[in-house]
Amino acid sequence: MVAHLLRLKLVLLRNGLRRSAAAIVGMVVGILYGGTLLVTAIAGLVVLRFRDDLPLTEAVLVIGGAGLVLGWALLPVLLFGTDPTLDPTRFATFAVPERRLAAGLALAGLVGLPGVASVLLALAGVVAASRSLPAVVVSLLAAALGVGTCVLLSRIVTAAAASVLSSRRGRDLAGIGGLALLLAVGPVVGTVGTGGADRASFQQVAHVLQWTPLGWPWAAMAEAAGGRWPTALLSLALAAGLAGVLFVLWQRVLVSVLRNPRPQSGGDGGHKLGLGLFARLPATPMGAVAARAGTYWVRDPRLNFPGLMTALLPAGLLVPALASDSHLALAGMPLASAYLIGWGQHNDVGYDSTAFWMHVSSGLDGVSDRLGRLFPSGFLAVVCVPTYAVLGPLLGLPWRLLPATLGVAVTLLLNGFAVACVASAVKQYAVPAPGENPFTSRPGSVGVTVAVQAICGAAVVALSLPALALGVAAWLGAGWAPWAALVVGPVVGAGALLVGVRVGAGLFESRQAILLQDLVNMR
Amino acid sequence: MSQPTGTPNGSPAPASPAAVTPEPALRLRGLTRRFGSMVAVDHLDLDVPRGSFYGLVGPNGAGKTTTLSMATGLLRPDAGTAEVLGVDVWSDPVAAKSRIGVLPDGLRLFDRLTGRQLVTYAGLLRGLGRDLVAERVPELLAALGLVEAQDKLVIDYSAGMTKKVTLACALVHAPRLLVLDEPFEAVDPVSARTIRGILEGFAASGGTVVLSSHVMELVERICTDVAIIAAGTVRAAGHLDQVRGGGSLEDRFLELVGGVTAVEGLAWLRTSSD
Repeated sequence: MVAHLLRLKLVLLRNGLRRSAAAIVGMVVGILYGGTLLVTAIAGLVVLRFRDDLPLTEAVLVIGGAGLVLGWALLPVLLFGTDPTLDPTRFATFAVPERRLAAGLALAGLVGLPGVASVLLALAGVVAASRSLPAVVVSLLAAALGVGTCVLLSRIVTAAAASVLSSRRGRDLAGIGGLALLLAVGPVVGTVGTGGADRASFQQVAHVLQWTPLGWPWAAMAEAAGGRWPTALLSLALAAGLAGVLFVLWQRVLVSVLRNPRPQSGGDGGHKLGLGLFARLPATPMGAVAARAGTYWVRDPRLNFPGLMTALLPAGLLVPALASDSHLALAGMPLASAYLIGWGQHNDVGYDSTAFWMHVSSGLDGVSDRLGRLFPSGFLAVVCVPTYAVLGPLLGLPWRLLPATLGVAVTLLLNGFAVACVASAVKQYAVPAPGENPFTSRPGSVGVTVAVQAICGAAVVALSLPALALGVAAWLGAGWAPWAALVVGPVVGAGALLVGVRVGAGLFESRQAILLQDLVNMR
Repeated sequence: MSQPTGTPNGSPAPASPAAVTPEPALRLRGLTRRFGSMVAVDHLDLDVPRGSFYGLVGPNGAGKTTTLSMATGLLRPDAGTAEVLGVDVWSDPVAAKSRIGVLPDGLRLFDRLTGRQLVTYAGLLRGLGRDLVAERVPELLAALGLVEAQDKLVIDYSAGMTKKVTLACALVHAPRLLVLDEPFEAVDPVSARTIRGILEGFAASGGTVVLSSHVMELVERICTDVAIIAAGTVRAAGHLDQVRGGGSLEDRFLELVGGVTAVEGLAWLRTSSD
């Protein structure tokens, strides 16, 4: 059974790649990008083995390992999504013993780039800890437990997150939780950022972490490397216990999913009286697209959760700003907000999925489609960007920099919109289908996603260079620069948006059938 | 748009020797579409006369959906042309699309909108003003029996209700040609009767309906004209009686499309073999 599921996952991955050349290119880009980081990390760990600095080795193992576990737990929810091909609900109709299904699905989570990378990293950790034969044995066991913890934790977290988000109250709670999390992560980033990463505190952090569940498996490695057998074995036992508990928990989650497959709709749909935004916005094609987009931002968890995160994320910079009095962080808040909101629209058509046919069959003009889509994010920007811009001076940033931050923020926002207008008429990447778990990503599509996102990001930054240069000049003290930035930023942004909408509208009109076909193929 | 003289091959040549033959409601010439190495539609020619109730029948994978998608501007053909009432769909899409109402099969709707919002959206996208939309949407919803569900999200609709609300979207801008892909699939008899009534009214008032189906009895009952499509080409087209000859449409269909597999084996499926 386990072998079956692993083979299924491999076949799905291969077929996903076979479907489009873009997926292969994306995967190669992903391998090159992630591979460089991975090789560096592995080389570092191997070098540690041949240096006599045992305390450093131990600290690196514990902190790196804990980071790996945390990454598996949080990244799927925050950024990437998990792979839905082996979504437990799809197995509801097969008579597979639950325990074996749980084991198979968890192991299948290792098939794919993140899984391979994690296994390699754990093995490199074993090399780093291989100071004696017993140490190798203990570390190998610890590595297996550690990787297993990663996979199980990510499975449990995504399943839990999906069920929380399927209700409105859960979504509100998640938003608040997200904010709290950011505020908690802030101090860590803050202390590291202010040069708190000297050796003593590094080892201190490791000593604390090694007694948390995140650190147990890796502590077993570190302690074995140091030859402290009682603590090594204790850590190993704790890690084994943790993995066991997580497995039971995963099996429980799986069973509850299999026995009550999640309903397709939110459930709390009920009646929505009246026409909502459709009655309030102009009764033109553009107004209709805006009303539809706005309604979706409110009702669709695939859009409102990221929207909320986009609005709140820049607030995370408050922590280093307040903790270490960083003016750069204060100045960065409106810029981050503007960039995230503007750039974030580049895949908007992808979220329509095949419902995009309504736009195609209605003979809608390109300008209405392009501008209408920007309505909800434009609304968000009008609220967020000035708020963050004014917040900076209120908290200690010199007032003379306000024109500069505003100017650069406006240019980043409008350039982001301009790039989005063009990009969303050229190439869309797969996103979760409507009604699907918003924390899923398509197998084999991560590469395309990363490539499109990187190209769009680079384009936004390139277009914003003039205003950014003026912003830097203002930061360095040139008295004229803030006002110049306030003029140049919006002018460049408006020009870019004008061209972007024109070009995007033209592309939309000539390529809409191809786009629709792309969306059909993504299902 | 110049009108080619003479009847091209394969056209049904309706018996209307009136002074000026009007352009057909839908004219497809040499439509071709490949997906990879598979040819889904192969130089397909078809004329749908105005005012007809035209049925497209064919086995699964015959290219019905692909043909209808290319005829309505949803899928770009590799070669060939599609004209709606004399307007080329691919060189003047806006004018052509304003004359067509589409009900596609297997594509999603913006189903996080309520039924009323969705039909309103379709109307506004077509550039109808607020007053016109406000007048037509309630009428359509009432005619299709969706009034009770008009404030529910479309995602919570049943399959039949979803078809009906899609039909409302296709009708809201008063098209001259309706192109419906499998309009009766997964629809209960009551809803089917409602849909049929509306379509017959539409055709009676001079509109043209093209629909695809693989239910022969249904096509025989409601269509005036029919085309049998297999492997991406038209095997027979024309008036219903012309196409089916003396027998039933199903017989003619099987004769043209080819063999039925005789069921062999599967003995273990019979419960009596336990």
